Amino acid sequence: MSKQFQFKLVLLGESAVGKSSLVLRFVKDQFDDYRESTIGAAFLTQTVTLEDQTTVKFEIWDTAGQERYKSLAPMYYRNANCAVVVYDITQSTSLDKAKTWIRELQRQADPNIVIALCGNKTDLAARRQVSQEEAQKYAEEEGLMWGETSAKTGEGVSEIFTAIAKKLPLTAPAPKTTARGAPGSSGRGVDLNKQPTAGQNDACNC
Amino acid sequence: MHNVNVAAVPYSPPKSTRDSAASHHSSPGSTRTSRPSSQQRRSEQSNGIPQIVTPPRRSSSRPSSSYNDDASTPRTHASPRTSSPRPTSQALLTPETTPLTPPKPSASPKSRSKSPVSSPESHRSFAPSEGEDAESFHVRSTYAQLDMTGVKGDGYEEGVERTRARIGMSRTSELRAEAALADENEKARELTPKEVETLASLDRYGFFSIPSHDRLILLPASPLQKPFTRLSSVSTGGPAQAASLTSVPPPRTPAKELSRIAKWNRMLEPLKRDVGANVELWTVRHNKEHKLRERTYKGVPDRWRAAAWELFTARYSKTGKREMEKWAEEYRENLDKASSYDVQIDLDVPRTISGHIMFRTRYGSGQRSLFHVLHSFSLRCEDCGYCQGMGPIAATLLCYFDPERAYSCLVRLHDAYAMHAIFQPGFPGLLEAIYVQERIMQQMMPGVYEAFKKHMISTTSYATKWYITLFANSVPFQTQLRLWDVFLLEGYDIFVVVAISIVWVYRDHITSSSASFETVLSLLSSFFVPEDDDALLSWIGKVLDDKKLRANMQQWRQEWKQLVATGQDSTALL
Repeated sequence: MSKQFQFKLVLLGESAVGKSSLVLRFVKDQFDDYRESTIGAAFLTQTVTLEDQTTVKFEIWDTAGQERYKSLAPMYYRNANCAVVVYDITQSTSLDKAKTWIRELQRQADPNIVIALCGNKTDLAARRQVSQEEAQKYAEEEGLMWGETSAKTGEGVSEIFTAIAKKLPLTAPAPKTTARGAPGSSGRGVDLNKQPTAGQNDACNC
Repeated sequence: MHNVNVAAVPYSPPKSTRDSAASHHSSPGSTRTSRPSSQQRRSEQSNGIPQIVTPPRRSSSRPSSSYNDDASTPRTHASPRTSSPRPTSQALLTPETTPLTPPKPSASPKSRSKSPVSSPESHRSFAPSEGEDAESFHVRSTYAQLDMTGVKGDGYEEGVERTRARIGMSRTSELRAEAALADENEKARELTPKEVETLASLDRYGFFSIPSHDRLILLPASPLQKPFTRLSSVSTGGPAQAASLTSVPPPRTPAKELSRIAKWNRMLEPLKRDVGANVELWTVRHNKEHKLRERTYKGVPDRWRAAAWELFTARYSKTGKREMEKWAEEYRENLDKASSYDVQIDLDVPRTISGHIMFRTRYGSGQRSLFHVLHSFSLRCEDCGYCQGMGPIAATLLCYFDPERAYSCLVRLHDAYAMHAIFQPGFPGLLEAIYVQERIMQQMMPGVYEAFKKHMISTTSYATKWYITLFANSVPFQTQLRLWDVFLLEGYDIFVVVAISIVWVYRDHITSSSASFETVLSLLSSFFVPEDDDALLSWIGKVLDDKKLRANMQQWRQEWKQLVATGQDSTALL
């Protein structure tokens, strides 16, 4: 019998780094050159099937990037099982912003949250400002997963979500009706005791 | 002249052919959309470039052609640009020789006098303002410069990126950028067959493509036939999902449009004319006042929309021509000032209703107007600055007004329609609207309220974008316009009632026994296509007409303020 899990995932990062585009590529395998800016947050779901037929369903909260909307972010990451913090490889300031988000998650979010740092827009590698080495080194120091993607070409997108799915504690069966904090689920399918310890580096290197 | 028929309003081509969408959206076949902006036209006229004659509009009885005239903004101060030297494309592109290029970060941003074009009368945007960083200046000056040259194929081409993502200039991109500048031939040439085809394919509001939406669902009319009464029982047997659609249907011509236009012709009369006798402001004839509300709920005929919106916002905000002139002046003055929001605004401009022909081309006249309006508005209120969500609102206004009027209208929304509290950090107005929405749901649809509670769905998680963008990206454009007709006439309460109408329509899906956190949230995060806009508006009208409910809404707003004042607000929402 195949196992099913459900996790809450939140996307964070500076404005226009491609958070919504990553989700659109992951969920619908589409890309818009000009995607309307996200107001508040957008909710989507997508399921990943792993090699052993385990299915992982992500409840995705794609948040707004503008600083003004930061005050709403805690309700989206509060009970998140995993977070994808996105930066734009052509904008070094966006990595600084990503680091700010990561510090906030480390301080405020569930201590067992799985965090992936994601450098988007590899299709614009000619204008790269953030080297792979720099980002990877930072991710290693902080014990984060790390990968690069292009929402435009699709490169690395499913890989990073699949890597997150594998990293999540897929041990307890998913009870259907667990109480959870609003909005979104918390703890379904999560065995907190089996959570890998922080400090491990599982860069997916896609 | 009384009993004016708008058809008789004088029509002065050079001014009214301006490409403010105020005139183009309702005549999508017009080539006007590809023309440069009014400022540009003025500057080009002064350069002796011949004026293009715009093809005749489809209808002769168009109030907004003269209504929207810019006589209130005399040319003398309308554009310092007219006197500034027209930059060559070279000046725009060669970093080392042009003031356009931002100073290197190390350079002092105050080296204004070094700029060859920063003579007192032509300083606009060609030198950094005090405290402006290089990146913001680069953004602001690029828009200002392109306002003078225009871009090639405005409305048809994608255009070339110059600012977003801080693009550096390689030789190739330089050449591409140079090639994308408009030249004199741009205005004089014939349209290509492809352009003609594009124009012919526009819908009546000027959209060449309707953007895809993640989830598209039908908002059926039948639940809206039932009056809004308290529901004591809960239906659990229905499906959790609503009927989905594959695409947004093209807008239809509203029923009885011609007879409605005639009624509006009789209902409104000119309040103020400019020196050329063009109508600047309209008013409602006294003996027709009682018809205004009902006719607005039936939908303002699109060709009357600019006039009606101006009239509604003037009445609601109790402001008039004097304030408009002051705001127009403020708008122009702010263009020269630095805004810390310019980089963010520039990131958002090209992704704001980009399916509309006016906003399609990068740095086309529509995108430039949008940038300018948002830039100037970001300097108006220190608290609000620029907030994502203002973009689609300003863009919608630019579909009906020139930039000065769009700016003035934004000011009215901010000052009089409670939008200040919507955009302010922390979004206090949003939370208040949500509190009121929740009280109405609790009182009138207790079963639905309980379902939200059971599934732990907070109202902010689906309604935030409704309240901040005024439903700009949640319903088709024509539905949004209908909602705005009422909003501008009656104020922000309507959006709480629109939120209620959506919950009302889908109530059985929300309370279904097979509903879950995911189904309910997916449902309410959808893009809603009303089966019948009239049914929706009529239902909303009846609810807003309910004096008792309106009084309750007032009371709940007070209650919320009290909760905030006593620090009890954090636990008061779902």
